[in-house]
Amino acid sequence: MAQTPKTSSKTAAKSKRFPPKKNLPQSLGIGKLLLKGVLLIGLIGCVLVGIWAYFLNERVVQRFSGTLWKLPATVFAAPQEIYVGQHLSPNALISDLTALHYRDRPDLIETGTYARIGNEIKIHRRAFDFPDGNEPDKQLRIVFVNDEVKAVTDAAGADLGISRLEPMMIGQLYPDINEDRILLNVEQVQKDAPLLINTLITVEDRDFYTHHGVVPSAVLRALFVNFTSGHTVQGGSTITQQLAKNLFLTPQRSLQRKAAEAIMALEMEWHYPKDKILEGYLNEVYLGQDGSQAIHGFGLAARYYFGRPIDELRPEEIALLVGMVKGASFYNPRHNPERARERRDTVLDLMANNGLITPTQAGELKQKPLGVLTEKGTTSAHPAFLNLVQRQLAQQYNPDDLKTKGLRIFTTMNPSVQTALEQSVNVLSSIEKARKYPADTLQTAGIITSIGTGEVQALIGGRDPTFEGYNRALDAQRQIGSLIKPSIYLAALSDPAKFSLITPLDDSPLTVDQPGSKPWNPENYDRKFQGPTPLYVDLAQSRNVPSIRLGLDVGLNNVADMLHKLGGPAIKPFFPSMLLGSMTMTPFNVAQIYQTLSSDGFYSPLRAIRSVVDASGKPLTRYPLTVTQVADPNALYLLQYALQGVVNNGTAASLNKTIPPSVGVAGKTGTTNDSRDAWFAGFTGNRVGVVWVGRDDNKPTSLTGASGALPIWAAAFKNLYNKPRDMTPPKGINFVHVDVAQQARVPTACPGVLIPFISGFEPQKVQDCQAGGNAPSDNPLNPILNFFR
Amino acid sequence: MPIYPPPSPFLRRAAAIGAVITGLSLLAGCASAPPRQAMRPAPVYPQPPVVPAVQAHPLLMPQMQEQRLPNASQNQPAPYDNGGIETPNTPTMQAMPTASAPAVIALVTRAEAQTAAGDLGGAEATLERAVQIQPNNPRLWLDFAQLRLAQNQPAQAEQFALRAVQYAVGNNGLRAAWLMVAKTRDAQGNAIGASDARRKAGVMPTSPTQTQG
Repeated sequence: MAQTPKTSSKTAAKSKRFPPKKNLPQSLGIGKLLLKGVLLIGLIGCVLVGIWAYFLNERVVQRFSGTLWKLPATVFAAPQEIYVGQHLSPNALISDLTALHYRDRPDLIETGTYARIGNEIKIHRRAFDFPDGNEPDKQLRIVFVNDEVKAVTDAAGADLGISRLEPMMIGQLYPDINEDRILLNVEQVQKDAPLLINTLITVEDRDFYTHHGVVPSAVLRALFVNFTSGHTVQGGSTITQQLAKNLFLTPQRSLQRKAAEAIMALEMEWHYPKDKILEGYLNEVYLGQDGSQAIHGFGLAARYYFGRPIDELRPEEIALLVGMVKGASFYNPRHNPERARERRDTVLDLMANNGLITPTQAGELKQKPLGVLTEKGTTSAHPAFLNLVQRQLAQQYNPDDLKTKGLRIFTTMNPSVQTALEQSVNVLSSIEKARKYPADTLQTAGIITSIGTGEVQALIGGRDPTFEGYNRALDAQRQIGSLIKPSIYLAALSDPAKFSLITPLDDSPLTVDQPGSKPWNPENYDRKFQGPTPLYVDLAQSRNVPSIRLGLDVGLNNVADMLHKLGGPAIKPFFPSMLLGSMTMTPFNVAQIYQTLSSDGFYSPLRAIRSVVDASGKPLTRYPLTVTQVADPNALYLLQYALQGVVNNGTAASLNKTIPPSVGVAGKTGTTNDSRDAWFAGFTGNRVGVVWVGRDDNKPTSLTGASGALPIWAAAFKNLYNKPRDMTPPKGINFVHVDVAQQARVPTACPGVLIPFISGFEPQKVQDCQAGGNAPSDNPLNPILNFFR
Repeated sequence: MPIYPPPSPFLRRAAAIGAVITGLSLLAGCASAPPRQAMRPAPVYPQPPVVPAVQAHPLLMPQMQEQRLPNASQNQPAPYDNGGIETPNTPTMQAMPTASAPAVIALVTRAEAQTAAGDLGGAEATLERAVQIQPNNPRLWLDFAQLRLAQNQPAQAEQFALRAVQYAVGNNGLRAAWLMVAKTRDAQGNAIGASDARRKAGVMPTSPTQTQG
C-alpha cells in the first residue's frame, strides 16, 4: 500500500530540486503544479494513514498477546454429594438438579438431563473440573429407599458408593469494569456445539473463512446505502470487523471509526488465524445487560438466559442467541419476547435455507416457546456469604488478581442449608405481629456450620438475605448473655476432683464486691432464689446467681482462658459481670465457640473456602482442615450432656415441638439486659447453628433467646436432615445411677438418675433405697431433698 | 501460604507407605465394627422416674467382620518399649457402623490413589469429603494424621491422631491411634511425649465401666 506513493514521492522531491525549464508552456506548468500538490497531499495522507495503522497494529498485537479479557473470579458452592447411606429424598435430589438446570429427559442422551422412575433417579451428569480432579460426564443411577440412598451406580451397574454433581455457581467477583463472561475455547465449541458456530457464520458473516478481514464489495454497498439514506446504517461488517469494533473502538458510528475498524480487521487477519478471531468473537460479543453487568459472549449468555452450558443448547436456543447479536437489548427475550421470537424464527429460516437444519425441523422449532428462564440463570444472590468469602480471600490475595485473573473459588456453602436459613427469617414477621411491633423492627443474623470440619454452610447478615449492606453475622458486636455460661461450666467440669454434674450450687442472694464501683447484687431471670441446685440443672435453667458463684469459684482467669481456647476473643481483664455475658461478640465469634463445643473439644477455624484454582485449573491455595484439641474430651462430654438438658427440659424445651427429641440437640439460649439481644446456639449430630435477634438501634425488646432466636433456628433446622447426636461416651466416662440429693450411688432399683461422671470421680457414698423413696422424716435437710424429688 | 511444593521423593515414599497402611486398614474399618453402645439417656430433671425422656438412636451396622490392620510398628523404624503388651496380633480398627461405609471406602480408595500419585492436596480434599460424611470415624482421622506427616506437618498430624484417639473403639483401635500419636511426636522430636503415647498404646486397660448403664 505504501510502496507506490513512496516511488512517486521521490519523483516529486526530485522535481522540486530541479525546477522545470522556463520554456515549457504555462498550462502544463499549472497542471504539473496541481499534480504535485495532489501527490504531496497523497503522500502526506499515506504517511499519516501508515502511522495510524502502525499504532492501531500496536494495539491489536498488544491486546492479543496478553490475556484478552479481565476475568472475574467465579465462586462455587460446595457440590451436592450423593452417597450410599445418605439421607436424601428423591424430591430433594430433583430440586437440586433443577437448581442446576437439569432437564427431565428420559433418553438421557445429553448431559444435564435426568429421569425418575419410581424410587430411582438416573442422571446424565455434566463433566466438571474439580480442584481435586476431573469428574467426567457420566450416567448415574441412584436408588432410594425411604428417603435414604441405597445405591449409587454407573450406567453399567457398577457400584460407585459416592458421586457428586457439579457445584452451583453462586457469584462472581468483578473488577471495576462491569463486564462479565464465561470463557469459551474455540476447539471445544467446534467439538461440542458446531451448530452454534455454523449458525453464527451463516447469519453474521458467510464468507468468514475466505475473506481477509474486510469484504470490499460489502463496504462499498454499505457506504452507498449510508450515503443514499442520509444517515449511517450499520452493515457490511465481517465478524473480524465486529470484533475489532467491540474490542478497540467506541460504539459511535463515523467514517473514521469505520476506517479504523477496517484497518484493524486487516491487521488481525494478518497476525492471527481465523480460529483465534472466532474465539475472540464468541467471547466478546455483547448479548445483554444484567443490571450494571454487561453480558459478553455466548458462554455467559447461555447461562444467563437458559441456565446451561453451550453444549446443551438446542437449535432454537442457538437461533435466539445468534439472532440477538444484531441488537441484544432490542431483541431481549425477557423484555421484548415478541420481537425476540420473530428474530429467532428468521434465524431458523436462515438455518434451514443453508442446510443446517431441515425445513421441517425449522417449522417444528418455530412452534416452540423461547424457553428463556424467568430468573437469570447465572448467579444466585447470597451477598452475606460472598462477603465472608471475600474477607477470607483478602487475607491472601491481591484484590486485583482476585477479580481479573479468572480464579475459581470453591466455597463451603451448602445451597439447601443456605435456603433453609434464608427462609427461616420469615418467622420474624410473625413474631412482630404477635407482639404488635411495627414491621421490620427486628433484625437477625445467622450461621450454620458443619460438625467436625467447621465449614460454614450458610450465613445471613440480616432479615433480607439479598441485601448487600451491613453484615450483622460478621460485624454486629452484641452482648452474648448466657451464651457465655458453657465456658464457665466447662472450666469447672475440667476440675473433676471439685465439680461433677451433680455438684450442688448455691442459688441464694449474692453480693459481689467490685473495686471502684458499687457492690453488685446479681439476680436470676425470674428474680427468685432456689437454694442449692445441682450444677447440670443450673445450666439447663440458665440460673444466673449459681453460675456467677461457680465462675468466681473456678476463677475469672480460668473462665477467660477457657473462652479464648474455645475460639472466643481474649478478654482481659475479665470482670465478674462478664460471667453473665456482658462482653460483646459477633454471631460469627459465637459460632466459632459452639463449633468447638460440638466437635468434642477440637477447635477448627471456621472456613468458607475449600480451595482456589487459577483459570487453567491449577490449584493455588487450599484452605486445609486443621484441628487443635483445646478441652478435655471427658469434661466436654459432661458439658454436652448438660447442654442437651437445656433443650430436653430447660430454657430451650420449646424446640422439642419442632425438632424430634431423638435428635438430641444440645444448645444454649441467651438473653441480655432488657432483652436487647436474643440468642440461640445449638448443635445436632451434623450441624451447628447460631441465631441472633435484636434491634439495630440496640433498644429493648420483650424477647428472650427462647422466644426470639430459637424459633428462627428451629424453622431453619426443621427443613434439614438432622442426624441424631452420637452420644457414645468417651473412654474416661462412667455412667452411674445416683441419688442427687444424697450425692450417693444407689442401686438401679432405687429412684435416681443415671448421670455421667469422669471415671474415678463418681460419688463415693453408696446408699440403699430410702423406704418408699421418701427421706426419713427426721432428716434436717428435708426441704432441700424434697426439691430434688 | 499453603501452596503445594512438589513433594520430595522422600515424602512421596512416606506418602506411599501411608497409603498402603491406610488402604488396608480402611477396608477393615469400613466393613467392621461392633454395634455401638446404646445411647445414654439425656439428663432428666427433676429426678425420677428413671426412664429417660429422650433417647437417641444408636446407628447400627448389621453385619460386622473384623479385618486386620498391618502392624503399625512395621513402619516404625525406632524401637520402642511396648511394655511387653505388643503381640504378633496386629491392632484392628473399626469404622463408624453406618450405612455410608461404601461411600467412605470409595473415598479412601481415591485418597490412596491420589497420595500414591503424589497429589497430596487432592488426597486431602478427598479425605475432607469423607470426614464430612463420618466425622466420628477414627480411621479417617488416622488417615489424615498420616497425610499430615507426609506433608511434613507433624504438629498438625498429632492433633489429628489425638482426634482418632477420641473416637477409637476397642483396645486395638485405641492402640493404633496412640501409636500414631507416638509417631507424630517422634517426628516433632518429642521423645517423652512419644513414649507416653506408647505407654498408653501398650497398657490401655479395658474399661469395665464402658458396659455399664
